[in-house]
Amino acid sequence: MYRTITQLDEAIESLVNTRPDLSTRVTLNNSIEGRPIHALRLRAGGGTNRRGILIVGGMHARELMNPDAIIELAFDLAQAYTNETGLSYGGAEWSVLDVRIMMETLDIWMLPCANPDGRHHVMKTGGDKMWRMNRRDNPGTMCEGVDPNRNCDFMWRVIGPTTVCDPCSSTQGFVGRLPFSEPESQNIHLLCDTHRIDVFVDVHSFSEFVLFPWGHAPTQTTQPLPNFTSLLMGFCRPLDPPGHQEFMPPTDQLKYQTVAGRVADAIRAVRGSNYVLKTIYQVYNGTTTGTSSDYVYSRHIANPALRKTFAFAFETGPDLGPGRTLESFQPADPEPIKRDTKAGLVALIQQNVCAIEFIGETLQAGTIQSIRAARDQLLVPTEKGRGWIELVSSVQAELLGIVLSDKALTKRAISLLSRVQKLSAARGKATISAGDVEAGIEFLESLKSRATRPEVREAISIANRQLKKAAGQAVDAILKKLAKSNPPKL
Amino acid sequence: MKRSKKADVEERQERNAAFLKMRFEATIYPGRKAKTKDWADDLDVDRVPDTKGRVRALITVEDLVRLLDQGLEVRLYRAHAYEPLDPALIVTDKSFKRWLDKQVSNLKAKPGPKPFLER
Repeated sequence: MYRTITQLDEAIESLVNTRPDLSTRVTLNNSIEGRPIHALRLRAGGGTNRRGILIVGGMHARELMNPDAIIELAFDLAQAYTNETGLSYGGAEWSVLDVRIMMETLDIWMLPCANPDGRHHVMKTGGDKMWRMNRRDNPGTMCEGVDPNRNCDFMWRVIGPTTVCDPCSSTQGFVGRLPFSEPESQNIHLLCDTHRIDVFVDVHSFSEFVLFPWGHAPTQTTQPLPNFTSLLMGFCRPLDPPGHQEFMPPTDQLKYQTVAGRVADAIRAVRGSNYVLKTIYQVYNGTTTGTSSDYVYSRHIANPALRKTFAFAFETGPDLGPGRTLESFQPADPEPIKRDTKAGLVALIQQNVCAIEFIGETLQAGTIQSIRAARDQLLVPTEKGRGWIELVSSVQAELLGIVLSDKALTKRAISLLSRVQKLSAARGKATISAGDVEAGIEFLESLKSRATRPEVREAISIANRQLKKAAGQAVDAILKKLAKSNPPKL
Repeated sequence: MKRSKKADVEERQERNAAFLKMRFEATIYPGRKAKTKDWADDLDVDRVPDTKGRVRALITVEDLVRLLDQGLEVRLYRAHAYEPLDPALIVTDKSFKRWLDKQVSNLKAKPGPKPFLER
């Protein structure tokens, strides 16, 4: 069963009215037909410049499940936080502390229904259940609709199997008159321009994919240039040159694969659905341009002054095969698929948590720039070094929960992190003292005694072993050694 | 009573218009005429994802005729009338209100934890 636009709006309004301490409604540009479009922000507690995630649904009208799932997720998170119950969807579970960390360290932005006119057209008398685009009346034609997910300012008007310049095409993938000509797509860049968004996901249906850039061309990780900024666009021609492959730094590709893999793991834990990781290009084995995900990820390349946002897309629900396409878009019972989707979204939200940033910048009001620089210069360049980074990232959300739930531990974490910052800033010369090691080990032991998951305890033991060997050594030397050694498997 | 000729014509026109707006679920194959690997790049049809990598689309009668004229092979699976979503699949206002009331009451039960970092 699917909710109407009026019902989705009412749900947002009720949440905001009931818990203004946890939720805020932001009104964006109205739709083509004048409907208000709302985004919702969830957060608890204080702190500025939090890491942000933006979850978008309903860009394509006929993909009905996702706006409902996103609204329900907003309530689920708010309730799990308020009632301190933790969160579970089938076999995928998050503890009370996991939910607190997500709600108290992040800004969780949701745009549940980006294309309300389209959804209304799918449901109204005289409407079309197969409608995909918005309801733009294209001047000079009898044809309606622009595809908001082909209208973003990225390789705009470069055509492909689902991207066309003719408003009367059967493709339902009209790019529009100008990039971002449509309020439904403008709202994406409006939110990215006005708020800190570190992770983005555009939720579509169907076929059980977790997708990431690129969409206009196959992805490669070896040749940075030429990249998309020097390609021809805007001429209603296919990708030129035809064999172009778009560069993605290997570190970004690893991050995409790791994060998407964890999303797929969380979805699998619900009831066994097997979401597959792909690039957007691979969905139709051809050029797909003007998509929100590619646009959002490309922003920092087109304009280096902008923050990097890791952008994903989900294709929710199984492909039931030819002859059952309508059921794949609009199953009579969408509940199990919505549970999968919500689990995938929570996994994505959780991976946006950064323990070191929260302690070092939000709590301590300092900077972790020297730690980031040491990581980027010494660990990121090697595969083994990146393995160590991934090891830390896989357990950090739980560790942050442990630290924050004990004031004395929080104080010790702040003081230790401040010492690590100083050591990292002077890392060519600074050596780690016996006192540093002792303080670090004592802190790690306290964490270990409170950790519940075996892999978290194991990760702490690994850190402990490394730290014991560190006394008298320079920070650079330790990180260089790590960059050459394989991290143990958890 | 005998129907008027005008009514017959109007009914036939309506039927034809509805027929032209119907969508068929289809898979499309290159046939003998496709010469290049990228034959599916500009079919001008409403493509949908396919986990087995088939070229799959929702097509109209006009699309079908055009594709066949191009020498492509088209396999049809199912026809859908141009119509809105079945109202039985839309949440009623009554059931929505029940759901929303439950959600809201769950949010009012407790104030929630004291945040690690106050506002």
